Amino acid sequence: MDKLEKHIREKLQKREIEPSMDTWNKIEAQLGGVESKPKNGKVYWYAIAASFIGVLLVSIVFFNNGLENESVIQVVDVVKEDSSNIKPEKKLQNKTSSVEETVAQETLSIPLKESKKEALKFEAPIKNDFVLNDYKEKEVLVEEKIRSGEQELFDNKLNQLLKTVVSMEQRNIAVTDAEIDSLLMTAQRELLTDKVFQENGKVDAMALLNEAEDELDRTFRGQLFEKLKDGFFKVRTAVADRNN
Amino acid sequence: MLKKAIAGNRQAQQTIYEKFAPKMLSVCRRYIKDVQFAEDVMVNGFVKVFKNLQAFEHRGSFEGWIRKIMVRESISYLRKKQFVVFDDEVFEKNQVLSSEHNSILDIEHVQDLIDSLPEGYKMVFVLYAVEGYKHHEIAKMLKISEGTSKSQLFKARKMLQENLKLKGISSRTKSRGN
Repeated sequence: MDKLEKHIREKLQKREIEPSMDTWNKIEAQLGGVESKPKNGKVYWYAIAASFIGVLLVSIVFFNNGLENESVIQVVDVVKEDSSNIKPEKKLQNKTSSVEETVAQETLSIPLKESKKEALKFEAPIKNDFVLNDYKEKEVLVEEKIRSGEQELFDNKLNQLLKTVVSMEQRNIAVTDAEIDSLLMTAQRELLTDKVFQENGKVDAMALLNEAEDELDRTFRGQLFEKLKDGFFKVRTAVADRNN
Repeated sequence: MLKKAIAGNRQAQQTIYEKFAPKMLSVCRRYIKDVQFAEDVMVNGFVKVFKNLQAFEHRGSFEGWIRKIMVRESISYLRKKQFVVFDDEVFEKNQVLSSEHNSILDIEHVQDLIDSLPEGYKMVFVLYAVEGYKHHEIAKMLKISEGTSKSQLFKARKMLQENLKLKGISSRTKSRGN
């Protein structure tokens, strides 16, 4: 039996059968998708790498936005500090010159703030509103102080004019509208000069600008004229009563 | 060559196929009587070979690795397409073949003898006597017990002896007739 099995084994192991011609084509057809399998693997890895890069970019953008938001908060804080610093100074300084200096500072600082506002417009509109509101509050405060300073100047100048008119009246010099007009022009120039050249020797930019434009508000002049005339009639009545 | 084939080089794969295909078709033919079906099984086997080339660990011979795939593919085919019976019928007769019979057995006769065995006997006999597998390996491959494997081998041997005796008689009858 061993000999038979050995004989069978030898015969079968030596045997070779040639396959038909198209057998390889069948294999190749079935392997069609296999050859691209390594490529698919590469594509798979590329996809993983691309998604990783995408996540990285998104995270970078996200964290950058976070940093910008932080910077926005810092900007807002700076603005608040400025306003808090400015307000006590304004309260302490009642003089017109200091007020005007503050106005000049504000004028210089406005473009900076506006540029910041423009930069932050798309990112933090709520914070921009804070900046705007703060700016408006400061603007109103500054305007009020300017007005109070101007009013003080105006009152001083009015008193001087009234004194001049009263002295002319006492010297029996006829006071005509032309004379009052000339007095007003003189007062206007003096007012402008006082505004431009401050007590500490500094030059007010805004006043200088107004002088350059050479344009005084008509309402201001009319108001001055009316007050002057009113004061003049009161003085004349008082003088007439005293003479009587 | 193998590295190129692993990398998907079609030319390298074809070269490997052309080198091993005749032997592998012979392997498949041992189990499958119809050579066309055997060829189909071989094709599927080579497809698996080329799809799993990267799994070849270079421990044994490359040819042995391909041969294993072909054997498994052939067994799988027989299991799917045919009803394989591992019956426990024991042959009582114990005939001994004479060397006279062996001398007249060419490859065609050997293949005829193998083909004449039932599928269960044939698989165990070829795996054990031709491929060199052990009974525990055969049992694992065919999902049978080792005892069944041994009994199938025993029955296969007896049937071969009977068939060979008949063929031997036939051969002698023919020779005598001539």
